[in-house]
Amino acid sequence: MAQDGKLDQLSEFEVEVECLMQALYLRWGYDFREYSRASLRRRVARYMSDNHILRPCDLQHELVRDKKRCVHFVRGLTVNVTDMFRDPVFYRVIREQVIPELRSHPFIKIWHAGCSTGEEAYSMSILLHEEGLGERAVIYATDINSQVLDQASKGVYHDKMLATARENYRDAGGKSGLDDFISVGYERFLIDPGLKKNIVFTQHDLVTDQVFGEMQMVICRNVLIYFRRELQTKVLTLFHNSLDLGGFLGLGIKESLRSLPNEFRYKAIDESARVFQRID
Amino acid sequence: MNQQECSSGLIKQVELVVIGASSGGLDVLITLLKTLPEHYRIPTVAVLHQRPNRSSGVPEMLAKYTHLQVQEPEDKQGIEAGCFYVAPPNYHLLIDSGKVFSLSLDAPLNFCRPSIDMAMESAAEVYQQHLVGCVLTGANADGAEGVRYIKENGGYVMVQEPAEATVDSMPKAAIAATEVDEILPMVRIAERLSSFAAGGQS
Repeated sequence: MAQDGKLDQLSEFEVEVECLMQALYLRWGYDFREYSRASLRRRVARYMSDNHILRPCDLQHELVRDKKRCVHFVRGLTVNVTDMFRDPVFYRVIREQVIPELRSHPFIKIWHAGCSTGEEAYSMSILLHEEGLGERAVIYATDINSQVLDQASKGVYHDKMLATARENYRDAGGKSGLDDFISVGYERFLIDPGLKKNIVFTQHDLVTDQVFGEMQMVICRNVLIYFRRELQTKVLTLFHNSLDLGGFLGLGIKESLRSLPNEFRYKAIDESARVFQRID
Repeated sequence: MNQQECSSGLIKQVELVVIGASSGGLDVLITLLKTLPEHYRIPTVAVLHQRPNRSSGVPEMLAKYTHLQVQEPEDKQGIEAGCFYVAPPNYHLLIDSGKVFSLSLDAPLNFCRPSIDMAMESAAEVYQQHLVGCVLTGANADGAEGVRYIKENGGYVMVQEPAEATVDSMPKAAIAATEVDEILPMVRIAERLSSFAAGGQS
């Protein structure tokens, strides 16, 4: 790993975090060894300060002995946030440039990896229904964290998110109004149960689990940013092997294919929206 | 504070500069870029608090004032000489081992995303004494923890003269947080950075 000489020398804290991750892998099989150091360090530091622990090696001592605490700790490492129709330009490109191609398929399978609390999976479901494809599409929405999946399958969100959701829906080229797909009340909004019928929420770890076969589209937004480049390569390969030839890959707006193995070929459907098509 | 003691000679080699700015920050960044000479090629990162707009237009705007290549970094992009990086709105910008950027959507820190503290802390971890941190005008205390961390790791810290800053709370918070190396008007900060660049070349 240390190729760059002095600048790659790790601090005491980082060495201890590395050891902690190695220990959790050996003891419980949780694999965070190739997560991006900078964000991992912050999340570990935050957990330590919340729990009055001084050093990562002290934390390690506790977590290799206590599975329950370890589960709690691991959940804290993997929580991500999202919005309905996050980055509306992404959904606009899906609607205008991807949906026309998907129409030719009798059956459409979409894998949304790292769906977190589900807002974006529901956004895709809304979009598919508006385009008349709701009945023949299935969205496999996965996350490593079972707790966020429970929340996702409920489809209930706080209404402080509603203004952003409505605005994003409009900017994404929504055809009617978001309120046709949700009900609002008691400081919450609830996703229409009809939209859930074609979403399968299930646990999946991109680091240790296998491919989803023959997808027409794989969406994974703002998950790769938490991975080191070697792990990004591994996960992009997993996506590649899950995609049909001609299938589509959607990433976060600041993510790229720079870690993609050279032999894989993609063309940009829209470079700035980070929507790509597998062409080899 | 002790400006005589803190000449550029004390710094071995500057390999990265991280600048934090908030209210009034755009104007001082323009002043900085206008003042930096052609030989200045130290990779420089500006963490500017912005509204979480989808596209800010800030890099395009700043590019008009400099020979440096201005860009919003993507995740895992390598840090290169001759580039001036602007943190993308609504993401935290972290500096990761191997001299690459990592982005994060972790919750805002003290209401800020991007957080200057997070960028500076992560940079200090990787660049240690080869890092310079600057805190400029702004209406909160972001950057104070960051410069404290930079000093702990042997880096160099400059703060914009509070009297000159459009809003002085951010520079004042930084000065209160640690023994900063210099407190200077913006043009002098730019000159000091230029002298680091000259030193780095020899």
